[in-house]
Amino acid sequence: MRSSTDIEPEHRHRIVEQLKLAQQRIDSTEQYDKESRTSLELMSMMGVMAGFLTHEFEKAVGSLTNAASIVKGLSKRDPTLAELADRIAIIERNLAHYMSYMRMFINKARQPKSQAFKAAAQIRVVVQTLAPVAEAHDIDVQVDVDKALEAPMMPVAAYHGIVANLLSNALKALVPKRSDEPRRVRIYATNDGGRHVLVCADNGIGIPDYLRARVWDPLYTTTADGAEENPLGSGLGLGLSVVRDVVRRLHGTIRLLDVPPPGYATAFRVTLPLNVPVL
Amino acid sequence: MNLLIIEDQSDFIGRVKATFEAAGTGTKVLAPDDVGLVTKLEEGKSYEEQFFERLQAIHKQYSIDLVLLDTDLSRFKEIAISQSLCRQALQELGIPVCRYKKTYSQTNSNRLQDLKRIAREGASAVWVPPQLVNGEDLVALVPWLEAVEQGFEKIRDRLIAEPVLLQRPLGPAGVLSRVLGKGTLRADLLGYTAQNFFFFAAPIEEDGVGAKFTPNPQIAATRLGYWLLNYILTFPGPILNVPAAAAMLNIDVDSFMNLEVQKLVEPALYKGPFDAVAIYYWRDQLGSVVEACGGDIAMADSVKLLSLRYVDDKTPGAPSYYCVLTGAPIKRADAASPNPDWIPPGADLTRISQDLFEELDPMLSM
Repeated sequence: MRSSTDIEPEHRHRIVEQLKLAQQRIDSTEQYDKESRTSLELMSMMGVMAGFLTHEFEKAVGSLTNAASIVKGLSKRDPTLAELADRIAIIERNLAHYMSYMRMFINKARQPKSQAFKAAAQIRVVVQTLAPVAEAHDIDVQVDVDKALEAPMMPVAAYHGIVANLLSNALKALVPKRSDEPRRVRIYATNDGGRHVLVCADNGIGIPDYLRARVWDPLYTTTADGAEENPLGSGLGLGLSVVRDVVRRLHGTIRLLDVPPPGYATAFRVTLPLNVPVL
Repeated sequence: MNLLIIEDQSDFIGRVKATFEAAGTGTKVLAPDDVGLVTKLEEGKSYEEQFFERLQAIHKQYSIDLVLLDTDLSRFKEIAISQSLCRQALQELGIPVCRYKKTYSQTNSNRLQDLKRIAREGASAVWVPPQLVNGEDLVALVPWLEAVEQGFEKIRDRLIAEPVLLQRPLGPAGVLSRVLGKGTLRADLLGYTAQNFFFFAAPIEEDGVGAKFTPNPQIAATRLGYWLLNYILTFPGPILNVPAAAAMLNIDVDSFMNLEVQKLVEPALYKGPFDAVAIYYWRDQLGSVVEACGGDIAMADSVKLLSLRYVDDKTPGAPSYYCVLTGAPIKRADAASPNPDWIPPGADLTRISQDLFEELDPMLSM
């Protein structure tokens, strides 16, 4: 193109510049893809460490159980320790809940079969599991779902995964918020015709326009570098990307709403067919 | 009591020994090293057989009344034994086993799994409530173990005192109802035999022709004890724990514990094997108490002014249910139906709350 004599020089220069820019973008995308793949592979390899971590974590919680019991015993002699004993006991109970939930989730995720279940009860389980985080940051999580509402025929672990990711993202967006306004997350679900609609909205810091497209990129995270500032900032950046893949596989859609419900800054809307054809 | 503790962590053994010593109950706690349980077994011979013979010899020498068995025995270096191997051998010997797992706080899903495990494996061990072994303080473990051992002993003593009980073709429900001194209970207990045939299955002779029930009071007492404690008392039906008794009267537990109410229900107190493990009541006798109060205990003269709280105030006279997962009374309308198959059909006051069922069933397949 550069050496072509058939194109008027000024146009030729512009076309070449545009082609160069396009090439740069392709290179950058390919590089990003390659890095993402490598990064995902590396993270998968560390699954083995997760196993050890779980084992050690279990032992740590066991020790904490003993520690709570010892401090409680000591607090009979020294009442100033009573508060500490209560705090350790609460932490131990919370960790026990997380472990119990993770075991339940992993066992179920090993058999991803479609099944019937009530949406409200399963949303409640996820919300209760993350309740210590919400309570610690004074976040009110409201669930507006009819008790009798049927969830789609789908693997229940997938439904949990979707709710857990949307809720934890919402909580993460609320932690850095500095305002007198009460921190709120609202989850609601309904069945509309043959579709199940699930919305998770929060009044957190919101997502700037220039980042709206990037939230779906695998490994893109707003919290990797700011982990120290945001106590929930431990994201790998896989959440929404994986949620989108799972939702698509279930023949559903997930959208970041352009206009969130009044009083909320961000809202994700998931729609799923009530009878998922094949996973 | 002679208590053998099968545990691979010496610090825990030390703590159990120290706690019993401090309690001064006279219980002798024997550790694996004290009785030579975990020295190497011979090669070339059946491992299970050798282990059984070793336990048999230990029992002969030390007269073991109860075994406290850890679930994780992976740290024994000399000998590879598992809790299931121990349970199997001890079941054959008829020595009662209390099994435990040192773990963290209970959650609803853990509780559900524990209950399912009791229903599945309740023929070979009693589960120690996790809170008794989880902390540093094991003080509450001592009276609990003593109470469990006394329960088995009471049954054994009765069977020895009245050998005819095991010789007549009464069936397990017939034998237990007589051990409990309540022949009319047999029909209620039959509701607990449905999923527990293996419990009392007579050993088939080698040639497979005849079936012969060995009336060994020790073995029979242990089996009956497991049945009573793990099924009949765990899943309330004819015999009720405190929250189930409150549910039967359709009042909450605080109201049930009111001193005036306690006076009314005292005649219904269960007195029999394992009555020191927890407080239990006879359902039929509680029924008589309610009847004497005109169908609603809250309307009895002595408690009328106390404003007892109903579980379900829409049906004051009707019993509510006992949720086996939360251990609390629940309204009939709040109970899931039907019951999972691991709840014995005879446990007619036992249910699971609908909310918990909807939360846990999809994830844990009740």
